Order: sequence, then C-alpha cells, then structure tokens
Amino acid sequence: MINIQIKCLLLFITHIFLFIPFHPVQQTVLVGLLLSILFLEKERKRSLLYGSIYLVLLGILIALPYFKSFLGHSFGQLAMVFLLLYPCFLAGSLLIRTSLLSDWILLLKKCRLPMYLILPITVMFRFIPHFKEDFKHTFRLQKMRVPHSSLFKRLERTLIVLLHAAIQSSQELTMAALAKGINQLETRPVSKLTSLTFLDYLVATSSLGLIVWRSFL
Amino acid sequence: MKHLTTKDLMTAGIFSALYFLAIGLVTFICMFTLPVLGNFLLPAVAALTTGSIYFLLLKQVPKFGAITIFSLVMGTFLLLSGHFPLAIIANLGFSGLADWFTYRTTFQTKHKSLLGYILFSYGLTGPLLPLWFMKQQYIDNLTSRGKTATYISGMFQYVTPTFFILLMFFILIGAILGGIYGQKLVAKHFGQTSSKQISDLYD
Repeated sequence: MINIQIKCLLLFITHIFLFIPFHPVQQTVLVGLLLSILFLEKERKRSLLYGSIYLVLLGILIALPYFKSFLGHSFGQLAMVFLLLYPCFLAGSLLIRTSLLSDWILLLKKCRLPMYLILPITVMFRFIPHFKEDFKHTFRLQKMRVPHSSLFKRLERTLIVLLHAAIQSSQELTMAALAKGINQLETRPVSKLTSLTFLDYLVATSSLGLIVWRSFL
Repeated sequence: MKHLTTKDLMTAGIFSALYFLAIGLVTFICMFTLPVLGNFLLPAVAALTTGSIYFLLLKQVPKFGAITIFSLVMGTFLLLSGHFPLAIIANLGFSGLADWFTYRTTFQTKHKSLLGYILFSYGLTGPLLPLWFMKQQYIDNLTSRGKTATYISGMFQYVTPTFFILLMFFILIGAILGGIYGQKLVAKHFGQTSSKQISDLYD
C-alpha cells in the first residue's frame, strides 16, 4: 500500500518531533495519522490496540499530579517517556510489520548501506520469528521432559538448544546464500516497482505539513 | 570490515536475532516483576543473561569487527523500529571499544574478552542516557504541556547522579557475573570437540 520510502520518511519525521518541543495536539494528530496508515495496511487490531495504549498513556499523564509516592512518580515519569517516544515506536512498528523482506533489502540498498550491514540485518529479520517459534516449542518441551525443574534451569536448557540451532542455521544459510548468490547483493539484478502513488504523496504532504504547523504554533 | 566473510556476516545476523529475542524476553520479565525499576535495571539484567550469546559469537567469529557488526545490526534495527535514535551511538561506541579491547590489546584472552563483554554491556544504556543527559528536552515537553516548575522539579527529583552511578555499578556487576557464567556455559556445551564436530559436518 504505502511505499517503504514514505514509511521511512514518517520515521524520520517522528524522530524530528522527538528533538523539538511540540504541542500535545500536534502529537495526537501525528499519532492519529500513523494509526490510520496502520489501519489501512490491514493491521486493524494492532492499530486499535496501539490507539488504546496511547489513550491510557494520556490518561496517566493527566492523572500524574495526583500520584504522590515514589512509585507513582516513577510510574508517571515512565509514562511520560513512553508518550514522548510513542510516535517513533508507531512509525517503527509500521515500517517493520507492513514491509516485505525484499522491500527492506531495496530500502537498505537505496540508503547506500554497506554490504556488511545489509546482509546481517536481513538475516536478523528473517530469523527473529524463527527463533521465537523455536523458543516456544523448546520451552514447552523442557516443561514436559523435566516437569519439576526450576524456571532458571529450563531457560538455560532452552538457550543451549537455541544456540546449537543458531550455529547450525548459520552454516546452512551460508551454503544456501552462496548457492543463490545472495552475497553478491551489489551486482544482483532486482526488478521492483518503486513509483509513488497518490496515497504516498498524501501521507508525505500531511506529515511535512505537521512540521510547518509546528513552526507556526 | 572487509575481512569478514559472508559466513561471518550471516552468523552475526543470526546471533543478533537470538540476542534480540533474549533482550525481548528479559524486558518482558523485568516489566512484570519490577514494574518501574525494571526499566532502569534492564541493561544490568540483560548483561547478566546474554553472556553466552556474546561469547559463542566470539567463538564462532573470532575476528575484529564482529562485535561492532553485531551491535550495529541491533542498533540499526532499534533505530528502524522507532526506538530512541541516540541509542545507536551508545551501542556503536561501546561495541567498538569492546572490539578494540578484545582484539587489539595484549591482555590474557579470557580476561580481555570478559572486559570486552563488560564494555559491550554498557551499549544497552543508550535508551536510558537521555533521562540524564537530555533532561531539558523532557522539561521543555512538560512545559509545553502546561506543567508548573514545582511539578517538573518534583518529577525529576529521582533522576540524580547518585542513581545514575548506582545503575552503572549494577551493570558492571551484572556483566561480570553474566560474562563468567557465559564463558563457562560456552566452554561446557560448545567446547573444542563439539564445535569441531559441527563445523566438520559442513566443511
């Protein structure tokens, strides 16, 4: 739907907003824009969840003067930090959850990132869900095999299994990568449509409009 | 970084994924066991638990630059996933130092890799440092939200240099204990014989 370059622009804009003091209304508009894009990208449940979290954080910030204890203060302080970082987190989530791996490679190549960074990053993206699943299965299996062992022991055994899997995967993946020529990303021909649509222009203009609005308010 | 082969880069990527998962798990546990303090103690707890991943990477890719790549991948991922942008600077700085210490100094291998791990562990302080060093940004933000000066000074009364030193000390202790444990675990389960068997399978 939305071009990955525009998603990257959104992330950049949210980072700009992090360094300049801004009005809560402007932040809410930015969060609203990001949530609507997430909704349009068919991540409807997630967008509603993130919207609710934002409202809760706002609620905590409003109730902050009533917290008197150390715990209350610290909790409120954390809520404020989260609120400040929330647009960045939303833009990041949009970029990560709604982009294909091939788009990522293209983006990283367009950003002129060196090969020694593109390769590990793409491998990392590919392997996070794989290890997540592996962890769940191995942890459950440990529970079944040694039901009375402590949580620490179970975690340690699971970690050892995952570390073994990581070594094996790195060997297998290297062979596959060499066979497919993935290590030659710089010279490998890629065909991908990168033109911007009306929606992309609309999102880019509205996000840039927010910066203009910020400088006039 | 040119001396790192495709296999080294792939290994760094895979271990980064594992490290990311471990950090995610630690964050989750910290958030539920210590709701407020957990976020501050996260780098120390992470240092305590991720030693084995770091030392196994060191064993698999014993080359200068591997630690920096490992950390840089994590930092770039955090940056792209919308975490605090300055986090990557702390990540890069401390991992570069760890790399230099591990491969360019003449200490005993076991000790210098442990010291390297301690330096590497400080890279995770990136998201916390702004609370102390970018205090003005937070204050400006609160002021723009219409909060009074008394209220703001009350908010930051716990963000003190003493608390900062205490956090750094916790990271040091966590990294020493986690490093020793990680070294022992790697030596026990991924010793010379077991790693040779695995690499023989694929060579």
